[in-house]
Amino acid sequence: MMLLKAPRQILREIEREGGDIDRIQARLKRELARLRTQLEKELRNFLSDKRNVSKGDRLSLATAVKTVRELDRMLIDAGFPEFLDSRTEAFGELTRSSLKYFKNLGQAYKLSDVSLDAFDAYIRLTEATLVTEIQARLLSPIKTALFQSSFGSLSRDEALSYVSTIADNIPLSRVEQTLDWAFESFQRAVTAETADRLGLEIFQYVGPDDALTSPQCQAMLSVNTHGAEGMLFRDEITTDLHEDLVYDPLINGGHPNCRHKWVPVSTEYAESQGFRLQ
Amino acid sequence: MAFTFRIEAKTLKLDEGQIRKGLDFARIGEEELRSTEARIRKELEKGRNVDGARLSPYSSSYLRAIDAGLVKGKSPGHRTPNLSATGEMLNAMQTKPLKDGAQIFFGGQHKANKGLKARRTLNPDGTIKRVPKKGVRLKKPVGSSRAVSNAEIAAANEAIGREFFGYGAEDLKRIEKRLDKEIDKILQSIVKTE
Repeated sequence: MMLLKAPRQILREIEREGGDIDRIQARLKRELARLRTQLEKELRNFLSDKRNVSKGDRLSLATAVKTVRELDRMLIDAGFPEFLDSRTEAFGELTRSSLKYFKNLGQAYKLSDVSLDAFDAYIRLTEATLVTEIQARLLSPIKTALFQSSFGSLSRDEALSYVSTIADNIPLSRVEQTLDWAFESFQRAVTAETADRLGLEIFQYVGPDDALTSPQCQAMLSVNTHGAEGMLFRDEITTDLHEDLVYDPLINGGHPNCRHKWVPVSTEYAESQGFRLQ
Repeated sequence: MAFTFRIEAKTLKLDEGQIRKGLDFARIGEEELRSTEARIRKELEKGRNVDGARLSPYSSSYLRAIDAGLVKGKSPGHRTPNLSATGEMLNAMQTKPLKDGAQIFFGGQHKANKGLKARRTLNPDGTIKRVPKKGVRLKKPVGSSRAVSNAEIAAANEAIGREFFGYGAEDLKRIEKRLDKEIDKILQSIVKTE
């Protein structure tokens, strides 16, 4: 009988220990969530407070991003990657807050070479194009990496390392390919954004024409609807240009890893190349 | 690595106020810089700069690597120095408005150690093999996570004789014509309103 009682006691002990661990974990989660909320609140307050940029000081968005990145690392280390998805979603809002902050102070929308077009392109790309084209598990970390690389100080190697850590069950080559694609698309999206702002309607397809050039890129380089090779109105730049085009050519070129780009040009330049407006 | 488009309205010998009010230098500048970007790209495909001058050829070791199919983005036998292996640097050309003009620059970072070309530019001591002449010095310790920007890659190319980033005579002629057209518009509107 005693022998039967001992295992029950042990089981009860284990059960109690397990309960304690669950409680500790739940408490840790609550504390981390509180910390995250607090940090984001502080960041937003900082972003919207004019006093923080007195005497010509500029908001260091890179510092803010670095702080958030530290929090990301902490969440991963603590074994709570599920928090990361909801947390990184806040970047869209953070970007908008930053823009508002810059606008309030009448400051240039830039950090180094970053422009308003770049911010707008980031928002459009991450909220539209990437959402439909990148697999769900990679989306959040890629959005974060793109933001931190473009507006912060994260290097491309660090970005790859960051994304692959989070998406650890996805092959590295796949992660790298997707990340490269996001970076390439971002530069084209910035250009498209500039064209929108300037109201430029004519684009020229530029890039190498050699043995490696894909049939769809060759088709776009040589398309001649208006008297000038590789030049089209924006509305005409669609996947209808070639059967192998899958993604919007203005943002993606001919395909992932494409060396080409649609560049907006002035009417004067287009006409000098033989482009007929009518 | 950037160049700018600025206009001194005084040189136009017209009332500066009227000209400044009517001419949107920033917009015109950005539009013409984008057009210049397209021309830079078109000429580069022929291995030339915007003035038609041939760019310094690739080194013999790089050409051997191209012919051996070791350079990503370069087809064997295609030896034209078009500065386009992955297209990453050239596709990163962006413009932005300034107070009285516009600027074209290379945005973003270059993917580190991508392809043979990036690796071969590093010396064993971690510095770039050829040090640019015009005050642009690239130092990237091997294995460092510091990103090399597309602007730095472009500057390094310029420094070794591949001066591709700038206006050509044709661009200046086009811009002059454009300004004439814009000033004509302003003069016509002044005549109408007066």
